[in-house]
This record gives sequence, structure tokens and C-alpha cells, in this order.
Amino acid sequence: MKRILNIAAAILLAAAVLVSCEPGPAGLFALLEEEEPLDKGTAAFNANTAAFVTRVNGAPDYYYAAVGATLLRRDVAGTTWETVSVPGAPAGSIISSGVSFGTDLYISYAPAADTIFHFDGTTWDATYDNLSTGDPVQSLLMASNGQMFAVTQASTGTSSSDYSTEYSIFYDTAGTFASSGAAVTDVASGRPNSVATDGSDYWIVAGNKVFTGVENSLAEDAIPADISATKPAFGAFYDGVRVLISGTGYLFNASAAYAKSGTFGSAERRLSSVIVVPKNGGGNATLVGVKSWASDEYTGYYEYDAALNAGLFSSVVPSTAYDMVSDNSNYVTTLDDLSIEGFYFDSVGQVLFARTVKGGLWSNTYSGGVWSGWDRE
Amino acid sequence: MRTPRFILAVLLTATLTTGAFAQTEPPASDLPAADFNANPYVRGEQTLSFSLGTFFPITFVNLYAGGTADTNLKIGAGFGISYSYVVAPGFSVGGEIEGATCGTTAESSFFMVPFTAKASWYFVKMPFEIVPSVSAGLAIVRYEGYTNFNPILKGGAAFLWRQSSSWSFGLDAQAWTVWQFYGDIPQDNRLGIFLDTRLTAVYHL
Repeated sequence: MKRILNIAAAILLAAAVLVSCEPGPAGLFALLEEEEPLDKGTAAFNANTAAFVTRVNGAPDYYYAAVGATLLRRDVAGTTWETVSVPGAPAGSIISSGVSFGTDLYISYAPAADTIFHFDGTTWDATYDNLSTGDPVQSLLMASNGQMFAVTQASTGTSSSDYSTEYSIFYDTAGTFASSGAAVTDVASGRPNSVATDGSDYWIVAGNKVFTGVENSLAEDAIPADISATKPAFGAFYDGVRVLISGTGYLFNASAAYAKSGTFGSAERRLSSVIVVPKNGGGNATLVGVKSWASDEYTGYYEYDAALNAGLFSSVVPSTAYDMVSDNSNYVTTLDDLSIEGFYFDSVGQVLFARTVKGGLWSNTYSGGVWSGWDRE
Repeated sequence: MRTPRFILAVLLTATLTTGAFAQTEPPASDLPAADFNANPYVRGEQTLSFSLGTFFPITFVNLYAGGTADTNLKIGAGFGISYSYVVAPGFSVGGEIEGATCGTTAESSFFMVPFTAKASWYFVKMPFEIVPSVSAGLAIVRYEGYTNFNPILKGGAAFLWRQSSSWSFGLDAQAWTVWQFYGDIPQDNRLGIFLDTRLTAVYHL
């Protein structure tokens, strides 16, 4: 009998030692209760990547989003997304990006050349500002002051040995697009992906390069070696004091000579998007999205108290808990396992969206000082 | 010499599907009448049980706020191996290692590996045996990349047919209660209730 008890004790001890134990952020059964079906949301978004989501004011106000060639919208006060027909949309192209300012929506199609549509709430203009480069528009970037940029892509070569991709940036001015400067004409870089402005200058992040300056005279910024082709940057956000740039493994304060944060998980981690939003219980939180890639399959996002940005920037590190825009249970059962393509915050409706890579569109509403938690659109 | 017997048991189990039909031992109907009427579970008898079956998540009981909730688990599979040693006529103690796995509503995966000490009672009316049991131990619970060690209590019964002097086959049904207590987050305290039903093969050592 004693021998049997000894064997049982040895088995229990071995199990405790040999099995890796990560206790988890919350009770596991409690987490399971929070699970929701993968197909709960709008069918068009499920298992897809939304190209953009943005708010367009009007009567009523709408959120617009796109998946593939399909443009969708829902009433800001509603829950149901409907498909929007875009008259004259080029066949065989997908919606590559979309932005808005006030009551105006702009969407681009690719690979059709120079295709930008403008919707003013009533009429679609299929030849908005007549961009005429002969190249597809891969990105539209809208700064917080209403300045729009269009990014075109020129590709040459037919094989991997001679194939090259170059980007040009144009800025919208007085009914036409003009060059943003020689520094961003046919430049071999990553795709210009995001823009931030402090009200006078702009920072446009393009993988291994950052362009900065006024809209008609952008120039390559002097960036640290921590931003390169193998360590690209993706996101930019102006928090009212400084421009934050999300790179690979680190955030950078572009307003302080690219001061570098502490490591976000790993020096290989690709931080896709950075945004500052209200925090549960007051104050602000900085959210930093993570995009999984071949060398680092981490997913989800990081968060930390935005007040840290005002201190020594090298001390900025992610929080270990997830309680600033959701709670641990909600986070673990929603975005934890999804790559984040980008965040969008509607500061009027206080709704935060997360576009995920083939994981749908998610939203989270701030009301009365508390976030509702992530839920599928 | 327990080791050779154990190895023999494993080998026999590996060929169980064909072995059951290729027994050289006499079938139960040919055993001496005395074997049918006497309870063969006397002190010193030992058994190894192998089981495979279906695992039913029932409910989560909220130990903090009260009430129950859907487990968000799909019906899964369970398996196990146990050893019993008869310490008194018709009563044994032993140990059991099991596994249970389920898919989840969000297409994630969940599994538990309980290690338990087990007490069993044997009620025999040859060739049938009814074996109620209770077990207690620790369950490794794994979900979403996180691992917990939780207390587990089980109770149920096996209904067996004595096929030969060496083998019994039947159905084992066990109710699992897995207790999750968190001192720092008491609102997450839960009791998980599951039903495990398995086909069981018992080898009499």
C-alpha cells in the first residue's frame, strides 16, 4: 500500500515538474465562458482582412470598411453592415485603401491605375483629382488635419533577379494631386503605410524609410539603424506632444531624435500600428499592434499607460496585464491570437476598431469611462 | 516480477482489437462454476484498465456569483489507463492517468490530464461485474496556451463482462468535477462538471 502511494506521489511530482506551467491571466474555465463563435460577426469580414475602416459624417453618420472589392457601411448607431455599390468601380481590382475627412470618403482601387473615388454623401466622383501616373494607387493617407496623400506603386522587371518596386507620394491640393517632393518619387522603400502630423510637418512611415517635412517637400528623415529593410517600421501617431513610430521590436519617439523604447517582447517583433486612446478608469493607454510574420509568430497587441511617453522613452515597456481597453478574459478570447493590421479610433463615437489579418474586424466602445470589450463586427 | 507482467499487459492491449477474438484462454462460459459465483477480487489481485471513449462537457458552476454557464466546449474524446490493487475482499486502491480533449466554440483546443488516486468496490455476479469507484487528484488543464493544475474529484461505475480469467470488457461512466480556485481573482472561481463514458478493457494481472 505504501509503495502504491509512493508511486502516486512520484507521478504527481513528475507531472508538476515536467509540464510547462503558465498559470494564465485568468481562470481558464472563466476564459472559456467568454468564447464566441468565429462566425459570429458579419460574414464579409470573417476570416478576412479589412483594407480600412473609417467614419464618414452625414445624415446619418456611417462607418465604412472594405474587404476585397466590396465596400460596406453601417450606421454609426446600428450594428448591421450593408454592401455599397460604387458606380464605375474597375472590374478586376480590389479596394486598396480608404480614408475620410468630415463628410468625404475617398477609396482607391488597385491594380487599376490612378483610380481614386470620392463620395460626398450623395455623389460618387470616379475621377477624383485626376491623378495620372499610370500606376496603381496602393495607399491613401489622411492626416488628422485633413491633408490627404496618395501613394502609387511602380514595379519593373519580370523575375526575382530584376524585379523592383518603387513608390511615389502625391499630396492633394486645390483639386489636383502634386508631387510631395523629389525625395518620394520612385523611391525603393516599403509601402508608405501611415501618416502623422503635428499640424505643420508630416511623418510618413514606409518600412525602411520615414519621410518628413511639409506636404510639398517631404524628405527622407535621418532614422536610426534600428529601422531598416529587415527591421521595418509601420505605424505613426501624433499624441499631441510627440510622434510615435512603431518599428520592429521597439517604438520610437520621432520628435526626440528617434529615442527608442524598451523592447516589446522581442527584437524581431513587428509592431504594426500605434495609437493612443482613453483608458479604463481615466487617463490614456497606448496600444501597439503586433503582426505575425515568418520569424516571429507572436500576435495580439501590447498596451501601456500613455503617461509613460512623457518620461524617459527608453523606459517605455508594455504592461503585463490587459486591463486598459478590455480585461484579461476578453483579450485572451478575442484578439490575443490574431495579427493586428491596424487600429482606428473614432474619437467622436468613442469606438476603437482593430483590423486583423484574416481574423475579421473587431470593435470596442468607450462609454462612461469604461471600455465595453472587444467584439466582432 | 511485476515488470514482465506489465509489459505483457501493454503488448496485449496493443493487439486488443484482434486479441479479443484470438484468445487461447477459456471463455467465461467455460470457466469452472466456482469462478462465477465467488468474488474473485481477493487481497493481492491486481488489474490494469485501458479505456477510450467520449467526453461530454456539462456545465461550469460559478462559485463566486452563483449560477451556471455554457462551457463552450464541444463533445470530445477521453482515454485513460489505471492500475488497481485489491487490499481487502471486493475493494481496491490504485491510480489512474487520463486525458480528455475537446474543441471549443472558437475552434481552439482544450485538454485535461488528471492524475488521480482511485478506490473501487467490486460487486460480482459472474460473468458480470459492477465496479463503482471514486477518485481524487490533480488535473493539468490546458487552454489557449495556459496551464493550470486543479483539484479533481470523480465518481462513477464500470459495468463489465468477464470474458476470460484474464480479461473483462465493458462500459465505464464517470462524472468529473474539476475545481478552479484563484485567490487573487475570486470572480473566476469555477467548478467544471463533465461526464466521461468509455469502453474499457480490464486485464487481470
